[in-house]
Amino acid sequence: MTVMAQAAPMAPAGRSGSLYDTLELILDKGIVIDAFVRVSLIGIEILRVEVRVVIASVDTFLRYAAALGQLELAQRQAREELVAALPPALPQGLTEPEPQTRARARSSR
Amino acid sequence: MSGAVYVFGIVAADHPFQPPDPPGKPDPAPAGDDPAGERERDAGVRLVRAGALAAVVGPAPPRPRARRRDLLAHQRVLERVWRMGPVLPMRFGVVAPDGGRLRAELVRGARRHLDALAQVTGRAEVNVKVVPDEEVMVRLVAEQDPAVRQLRGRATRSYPDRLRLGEAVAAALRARAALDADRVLRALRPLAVRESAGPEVAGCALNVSLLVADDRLDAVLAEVARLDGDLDGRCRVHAFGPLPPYSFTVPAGG
Repeated sequence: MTVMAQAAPMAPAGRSGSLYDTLELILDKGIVIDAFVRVSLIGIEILRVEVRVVIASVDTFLRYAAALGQLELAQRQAREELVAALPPALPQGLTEPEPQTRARARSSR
Repeated sequence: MSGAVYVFGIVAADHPFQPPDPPGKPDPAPAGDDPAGERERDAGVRLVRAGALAAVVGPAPPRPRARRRDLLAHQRVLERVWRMGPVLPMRFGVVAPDGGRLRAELVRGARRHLDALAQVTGRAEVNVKVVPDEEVMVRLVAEQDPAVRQLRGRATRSYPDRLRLGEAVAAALRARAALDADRVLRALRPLAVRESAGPEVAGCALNVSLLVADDRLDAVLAEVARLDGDLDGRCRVHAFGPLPPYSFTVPAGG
């Protein structure tokens, strides 16, 4: 094998190609000789938690729902800022009654 | 002192292994946080030969642990040995009871190990992970996914509604990320000799290891960089490597 020029594992910007990025490889891959004890490792459970399997949990769902809520809030704020930035010369009849009629239509359903 | 040894990996008996410098000697090129301490821990690393093979071993820890430094030592020793010549890494934590039984295991598995060594010679592992950007993805599926849009229109703040909405977002996000993951895999596959699916890792849409010929490493890393820029921020594509062939220790078709 040719000697690798890279001194350290190559990693894209913003990530250090360190232990944790490939930790699962030394814990899950590699040769295991059945006849030899694979030592029961203190602390491995904690590390397992860090590389834990993706579980589509209730927590995740609620987090996504909350993220959508945040998104809606941000969009509403952006809309309100846009409305606030509109020239005041806009005919009042266009902006005022419309939400009211919509609200009335919904409540009558 | 009963002869138990920690096993790092398996190499050919003629591997150009050089033992690490003994601790206490001045370090010509200091690296890491604690080079002297690291060298002290690595100092006992040696070969145990049996026929055409040898095992890379070190002193068995009196009390086996998986602390950060133990995991790092496993990686560091393997990287060092691998830079000198091909090695088949052991999984973390393998301890042989004594040299005799280790040699017997090497002889018993010789054919398989020699085949595997031949297949990783001149090649390296590159681990590729595709990581969805949650913020970008949630915004995308909120706008584009029909099920999410429909649920969003009628969802109240009630717990069941939020749960249903979140579940729909998770499903849409997974499906969208799977498309990107598939695209990455299809683009990289022609550049690799073999591939091995990695274990599922939290937050990753794809975790795959590729066995790559040395003269194609640059092409793989360049393609990863291109894909990373091509996914419009939905997912990041990360490459880790070149690494010792952790995921390719069993010969293909054997």
